[in-house]
Amino acid sequence: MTAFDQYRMMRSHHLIFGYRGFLTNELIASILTLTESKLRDLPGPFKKKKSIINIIIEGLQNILYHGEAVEENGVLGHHCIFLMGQRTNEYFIQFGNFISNSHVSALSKKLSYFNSLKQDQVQKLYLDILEKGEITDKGGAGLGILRVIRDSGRTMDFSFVPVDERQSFFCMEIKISM
Amino acid sequence: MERIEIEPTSTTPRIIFRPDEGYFEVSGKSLPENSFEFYKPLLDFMEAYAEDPAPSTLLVFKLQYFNTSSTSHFLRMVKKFEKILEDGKDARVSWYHDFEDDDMRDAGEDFKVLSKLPIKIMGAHLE
Repeated sequence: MTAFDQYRMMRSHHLIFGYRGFLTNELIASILTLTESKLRDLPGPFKKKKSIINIIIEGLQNILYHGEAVEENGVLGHHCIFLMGQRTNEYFIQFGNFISNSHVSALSKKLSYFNSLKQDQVQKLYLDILEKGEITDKGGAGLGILRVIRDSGRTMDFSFVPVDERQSFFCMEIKISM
Repeated sequence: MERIEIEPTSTTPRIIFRPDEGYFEVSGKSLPENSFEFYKPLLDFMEAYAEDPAPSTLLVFKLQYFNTSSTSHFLRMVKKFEKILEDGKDARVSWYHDFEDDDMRDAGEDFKVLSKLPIKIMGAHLE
């Protein structure tokens, strides 16, 4: 596949940019700088663009904190995919990472529950968790995911693709209406 | 108590703590990989300061963006200074947000709901 094929494929999938590979916190900071720069040239109100930044922070740090480290080309780490795109009237952000099969059921239940909440319930739960301070050095208690749902103003799409007897690939897509 | 000044990085904020002046500032971006490691010593410092504070204390936030783990530490900072108010001294929070950054303004509003300290939310041109 040539670079032109890749270009056409990304365009046909409405992709603005993406990243695949090993994730570190410094890399997240670089992705945010790149996103900020891209968003300056793209249409949409500031508040929505800020929501995109917040969602990327939580989504990528979620991978770093809770994703399963896997080995690829001799490098053990949090391998992932991150994609950002723009369709008519909306931006979309996709995250994908490996997780242990033992975590799939609990995560699926938690996300389904968060998705079932109305926006005012999301805000109330967010403040409740923040006030109780049930946060560890890895975040936790679902505060980051609640922020993602609050900032997108919509439910998230998620799925788990089985990889082998130990791992699945966790896919999450968040849309932000313009 | 000694002053604390920490230069910002791509993932941690600038910290200016001047206990002699009762001035505490957190500014920039806050998404440390381990927020406890970064904020725990600062919170311990604030707790010690609150035992014998300056006549008036101002805690300033000038943030561009942060992760939720940092938010919980910001709230803990605010809570540390509630003691100053309970002890009958002056303690306030100034929460600055960029003029067009409604999201950061709303984050300040969240703190207003959760804290007893007076929190003034102001638009500004942030670097």
